[in-house]
Amino acid sequence: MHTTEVDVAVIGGGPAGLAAVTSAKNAGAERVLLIERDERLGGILNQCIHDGFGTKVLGESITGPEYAQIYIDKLQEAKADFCLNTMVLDLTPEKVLTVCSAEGMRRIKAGAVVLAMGCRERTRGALGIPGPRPAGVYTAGVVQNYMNLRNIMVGRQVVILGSGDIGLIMARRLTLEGAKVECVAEILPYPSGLARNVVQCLEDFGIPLYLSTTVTRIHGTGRVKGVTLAQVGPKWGVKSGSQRFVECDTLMLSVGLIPENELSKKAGVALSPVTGGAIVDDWFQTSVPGIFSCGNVLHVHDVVDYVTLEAEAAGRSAARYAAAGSLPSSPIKVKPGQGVRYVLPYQISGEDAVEFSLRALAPEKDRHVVFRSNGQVIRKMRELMVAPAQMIRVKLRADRFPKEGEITVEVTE
Amino acid sequence: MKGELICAVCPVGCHVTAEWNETDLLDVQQAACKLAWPYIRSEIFDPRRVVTSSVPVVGGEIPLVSVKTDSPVPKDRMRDVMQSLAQVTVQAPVNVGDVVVSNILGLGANIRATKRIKKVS
Amino acid sequence: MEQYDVAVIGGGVVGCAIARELTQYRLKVALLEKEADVCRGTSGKNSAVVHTGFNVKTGSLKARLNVAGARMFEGLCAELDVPFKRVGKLVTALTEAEVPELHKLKATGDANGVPSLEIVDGATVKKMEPNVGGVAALSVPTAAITSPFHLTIALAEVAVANGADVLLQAEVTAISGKEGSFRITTRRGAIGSKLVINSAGLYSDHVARLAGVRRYKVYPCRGEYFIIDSAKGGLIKHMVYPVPPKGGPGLGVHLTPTIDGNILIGPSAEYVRRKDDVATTRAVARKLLKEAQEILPAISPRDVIAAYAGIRAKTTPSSVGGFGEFIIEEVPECPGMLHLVGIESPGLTAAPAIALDVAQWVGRHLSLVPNGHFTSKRNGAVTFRDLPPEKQAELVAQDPDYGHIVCRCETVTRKELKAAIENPLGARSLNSIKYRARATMGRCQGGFCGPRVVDMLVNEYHVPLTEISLKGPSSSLFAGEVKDLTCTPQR
Repeated sequence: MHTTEVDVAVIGGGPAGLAAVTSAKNAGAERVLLIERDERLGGILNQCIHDGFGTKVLGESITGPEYAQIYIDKLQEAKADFCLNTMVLDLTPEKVLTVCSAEGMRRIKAGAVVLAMGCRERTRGALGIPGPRPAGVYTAGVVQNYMNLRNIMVGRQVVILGSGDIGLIMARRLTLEGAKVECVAEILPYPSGLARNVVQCLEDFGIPLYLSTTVTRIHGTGRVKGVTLAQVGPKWGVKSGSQRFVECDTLMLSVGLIPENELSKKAGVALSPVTGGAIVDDWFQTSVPGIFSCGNVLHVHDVVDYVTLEAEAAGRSAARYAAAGSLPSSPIKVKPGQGVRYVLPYQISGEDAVEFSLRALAPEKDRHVVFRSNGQVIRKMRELMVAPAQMIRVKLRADRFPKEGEITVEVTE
Repeated sequence: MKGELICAVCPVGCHVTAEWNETDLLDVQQAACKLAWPYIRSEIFDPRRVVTSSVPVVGGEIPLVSVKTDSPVPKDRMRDVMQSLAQVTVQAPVNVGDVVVSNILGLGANIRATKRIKKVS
Repeated sequence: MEQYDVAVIGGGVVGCAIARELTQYRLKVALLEKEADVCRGTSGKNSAVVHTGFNVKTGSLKARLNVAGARMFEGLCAELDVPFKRVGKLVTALTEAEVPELHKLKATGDANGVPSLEIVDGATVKKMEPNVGGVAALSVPTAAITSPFHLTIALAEVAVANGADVLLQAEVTAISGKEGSFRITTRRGAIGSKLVINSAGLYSDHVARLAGVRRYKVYPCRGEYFIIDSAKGGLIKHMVYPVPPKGGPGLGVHLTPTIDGNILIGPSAEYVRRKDDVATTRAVARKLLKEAQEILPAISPRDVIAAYAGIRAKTTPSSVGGFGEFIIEEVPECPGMLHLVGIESPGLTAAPAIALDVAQWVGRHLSLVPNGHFTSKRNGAVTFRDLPPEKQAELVAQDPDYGHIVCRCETVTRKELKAAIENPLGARSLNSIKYRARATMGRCQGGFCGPRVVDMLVNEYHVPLTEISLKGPSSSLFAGEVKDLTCTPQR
């Protein structure tokens, strides 16, 4: 098999990959290559035709395809190479990729690799919703793909399980295109999506949102005929007598995303059981030297702008690694403390300022995000509200960091 | 008049109680910050939304091109905009920003393409 | 009306094995299946195990056919190019109190002629399966796993290649006439046949009644399963079974490695009212996982990628439980028709041997003359994923369709998908494609490749959008188009 060499290989041509490869090129990496398995760049943005993208990095609200086009233009300006319809079949710890396309199979030896494969949706199988297996059970992203890229309407009468943003966006989209969205059921006592989407996607159209409610059974053997909804109490136990049948021909699931790390595992990259993504330092370097991770394959984001920022940083690190063959070590550990589900990066070098990403364990009003080291508070900031669905980003200057030891991050009163 | 609304300015999503008369917003309660006022005022007196959809494209690499109103339109005219869009088809190639319908329904907003669609023979 | 020598009712593994067996002779054979593909019933929803016969009543018809079928299986799979793996089985005793039961099973197995059975101690169990607990186990090295889908499909395809007609969506609604001139009415029209074989599985009692035979009753008994992500597939090498529950209608919840590298957990055993009630339930799901974790603590709910249920065709009602005998007989009420009733586990294993017995029965009515050109050799689909990289590269160089990966979770190429879509039975539903080429079967359950397979069906095979289904006509996937594409451009 033919082998070629590159300085930086980026796997995945969605928002993370686009930003990573462009920044690697702009940071001085000569030979960069972005590898995309689909027939166009932009990844999931191509089907996200709603607006709301770009408010953090561009200062305006644009649609997904427009956001993608801006970063495709940047890639082309930077003259970064890319290939389409190409699947990475294997990745070794030595950073050798086996790739496959209709043109043939080949090996690519990379100086550094950036993982930017994104995530996949949780499915009915993963949820274990009881009932037979009729047609008409779709995840929200699949419905969005069929509608916005393929002009296909999956159904006419829809129940949505899960109030994640994609689910809410699709409630509006389906309604505007003539489908009847019966309701959105959310097992949590609060909506998972943004308030703006609850207002503009549900309230605007009179679509009911049932909280603390889930689907306990799917009905229909050929096509979905309906679902049983039930209220849940504490610990998600079904409240007896609360079950009711809702007729529909489609059940759409918007119940979470899972980082797509199968390739990372092949390369021996250590993963966090909490995020499902790689364990990285402030260079976005994984446990395998020279392999970097960013975007939704690292941890699931709620805003694409942060994906772009993270991927640009990862791309710069990859370029630096490819040139120097190593990066400064990261001896300072970062640990989630009280009220924090996870915090990224997991360890830092202390060389430079770091933008931390963290998620709270539960929704609460009027909290403080507190960074501590060796018993000292090194940063404390107030948040009007925290929620697991909303990533908190905090930037700390390098002079705040200890030389070694640990930093813990808490969300407290 | 009095009513309960969700402030959608930021992710906090305050559930506020607002009071207003025919011409002005009089009070907003339970809001965490001042930004709620202008938002609630526009939601009561002139709620507007950007409408995004897609229209068929002839001779393109994919069957649809995504489109949006380039400025928000009155909320209660969203359905009319959708109905009007149902009659529209475009020809490939299409570029981001191309005007597909100018001043749709006289609402002062253009329908613009949000995706680049190459022409295929 | 098309005339046949033999009509086989039911496209499960038994019906397809019979059809293939009969096409060796100068016979015109029809296989009638009510669903849109073969293998849609119990044959496709079980543990996919080739049983050895150590737990079947000695001297029974079931024991004879089980042991004989197990002996034929590997050769048949090789001939048909169907996966077969002799992974072996451990029946584990979790407590000392269960150990005597292992000795009883071994004695039955020895009496049935099952080779190489051995009782091993806890330390050996640990060595053979480091992640599994147990104080002792019955080791069954000859037990194997297969793919019931590939096997049933292969049997049907070989039957077709040798001249049989496989009629899908041809539910039988009436049977009249008598030996030599039966008339079988189906949803696709009527056919004539000299002999009829009722291998309708769960519905064999119903099909018998259509012919005036009222003596059978099949009790549906549901078994639910979980499928565990192939990433955890390495946790066990052997099938791991518990000591079978006494008098129960099943073999107990067991862990079975699959040909595709997943692990199956299940099945439960619960009598249900309806024969099509393949629903999974929350209560059973919890119980299955708990019992599986007792055997293999390393499994967590997060590893589950899908669940399914199959229905056993039992002749013993819930009040009796246990296992009934296979019924394979011609009865005085209707000469010329053979009934196969209660072919539950180990029906998959026994299928090749049952087919031989059935051919003998046919031979008592019609003369069995070898047709001289029968070939059972079949080249199954290439599984690109399982080939070494150099071989993969060679294939891609030969045919670019091998270089186009459509299903990312299972690494299925466009070439494999085309072969699956163009299958000889003409089955075009998404599930038909899934069972042939694995697309949509993996951890994303078709999120990525589903739309791409639909593109192929619409653009290359010209299947109308509203005719694309999950498993047949009543399971359309789509309501239609979003925008009417027939408008004229007006920009």
